[in-house]
Amino acid sequence: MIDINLLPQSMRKKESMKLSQLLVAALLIAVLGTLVHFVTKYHFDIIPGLKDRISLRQRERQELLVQVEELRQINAEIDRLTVFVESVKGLYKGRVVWSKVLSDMKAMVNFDAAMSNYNPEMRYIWLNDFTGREKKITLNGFATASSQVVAMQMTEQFLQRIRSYVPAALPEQGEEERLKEELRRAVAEHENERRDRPELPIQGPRELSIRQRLEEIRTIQSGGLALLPFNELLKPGSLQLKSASWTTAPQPKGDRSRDMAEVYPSSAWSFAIEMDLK
Amino acid sequence: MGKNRFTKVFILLGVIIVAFTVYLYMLVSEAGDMWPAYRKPGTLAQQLDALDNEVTGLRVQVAQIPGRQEILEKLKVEYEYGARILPCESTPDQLIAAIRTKAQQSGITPNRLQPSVASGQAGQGANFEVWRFSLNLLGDYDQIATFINRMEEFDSPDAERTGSEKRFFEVREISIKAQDQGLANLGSGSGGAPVQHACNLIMQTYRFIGQ
Repeated sequence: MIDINLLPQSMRKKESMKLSQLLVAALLIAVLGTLVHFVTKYHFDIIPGLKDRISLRQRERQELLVQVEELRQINAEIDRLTVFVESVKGLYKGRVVWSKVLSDMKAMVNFDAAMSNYNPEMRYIWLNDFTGREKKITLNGFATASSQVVAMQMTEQFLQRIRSYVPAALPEQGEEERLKEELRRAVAEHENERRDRPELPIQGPRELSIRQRLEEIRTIQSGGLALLPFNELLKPGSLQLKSASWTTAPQPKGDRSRDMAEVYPSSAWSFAIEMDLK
Repeated sequence: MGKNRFTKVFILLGVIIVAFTVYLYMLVSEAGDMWPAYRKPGTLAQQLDALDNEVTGLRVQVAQIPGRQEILEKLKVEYEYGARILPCESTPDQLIAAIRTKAQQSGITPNRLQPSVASGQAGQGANFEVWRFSLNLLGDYDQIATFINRMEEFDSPDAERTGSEKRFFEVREISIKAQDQGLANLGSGSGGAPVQHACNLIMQTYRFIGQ
C-alpha cells in the first residue's frame, strides 16, 4: 500500500530528526568542543606556562652561570695557591732540624746512668766526629771507663739511649704548659679576691695577660707553616739505629783523662754507629 | 529531502572539524615551523627538563662557593706566610751579611762562606731557585748547634727593609770533626775556653720564581 500525502506543503507535518542522527550530531559537537578546548588550552595555557617557566629558568641559569664563573676563578686561585703552599710544606716536611738533633745528641752523649740525668762533669762517651747527610747520621766515638767491661757497658747504654730516643719537646710546648699552670693559679687567686670584692671584673689583669701570652705562644710558627701544628712538620720524629760496631781501643790522644788520670781511667771502646732519621 | 539536509549538516560539521584541525596545526605551530603542534608542549617540556637539570647542577656548584672561599682564605694566610719565609732578595750574595751576623751572634767566625744558585722544582710543581751556602766553621759544640738553630729559625737582621722576619733554611749536610777532645764536650780547652771543633755545613734556602 502506498501512502500519499495530499496536504499542501505548508500544512504538512515537519519531519523530525531521528534519535540516532541527533546522537551523531551531538557526538560531532562534543568532539569539536573538545578540540576547541584543547587547542585553546594548549595555546593560551600550557604553552605560555611552559614558556614562562623556561624563561625563568634561563634567567636563573644566567645568574648561576655568573656565580659558577666566580667559583671557577676561586678554584683556579685555590689551585695556584695550593701548588705553592704544598711545595713550601714539602720543603718543611723534607727538612731535618739538625739543631734539634745536635741538642738531643748532646743529651744522649752526656747522659749519666748513675744520675739518670745529664751530667756535664762525669762523662763516658766521647764523639770523634758527627756526620749528617740527608736523613742519615754517622757517629764515630769512644767510651772510656775504669775498665774495658765498664767501657763496653757504657757503649751499650749509649746505644740503648739511641734506640729509645724520644725527640725533646718544643720550647713553646714547655712554655705553654707552664703558662697554663700559671693561668690556673691566677684564676683561683682572682676568684678568692672576688669573694671579698664582687665588684671586680670576672677576669683579672694577670689572667688576661697570661691568656694573651698563651695566644702568642700558640701562634708561634716555630719553623712550621701558619695554621699547621709544628709537630707534623718537625723532622726527625725518631731515630732508627741502622748499624753499630765497637771494638777495644787505646785511650785516644788528647783526651783530658790524660791530665786527670785519677778521675778518667784509661780503658776505652771505640764505636761506629749509623742511624736513620724518621 | 530530509536526508539531504542531514547530509549537508554532516558535511558542514566535517568541514568545521577539518578547519579546526588545520587551526590546530597552524595556530599552535611556530611561524614557518611545520613541527606538529601536538608535539610542541612535549618539546618545551623537554627543554624545561634539560634546563631544570642544568640549573640543578649549577646550584650544586654554586653551593660550593662558601666552602671554597673558606679554603681560599686559609690558603691565602698560608701563602702569605710561605711567601714571607722565602727570600725576597734577588741573589744569594745579599744573604751573606745576614749569615755572618748570625755566626757572630753565635760566637763563631766562618772561615769560608760560598753561595751558589741552582734552579729546580720543589714539592708539587712550583719552581724554586735553590740557594746553597757552603760554610766552614770553627766553634765549640754549643756554638755550632746555636748557629744552626739560628739559621733554622732565621730572623732576618734587616727585616724592616725586606719585610721578612723569618726565612726557611735547611741544613743539607753537616760534618763536625772533634778537635783535641771529643764532641759534646763541656770541659775546658787551653785557657779555660770550650774546645773548638771544625764544622762543614751545606745549607739551603729557596726563592720562589713562579709556576
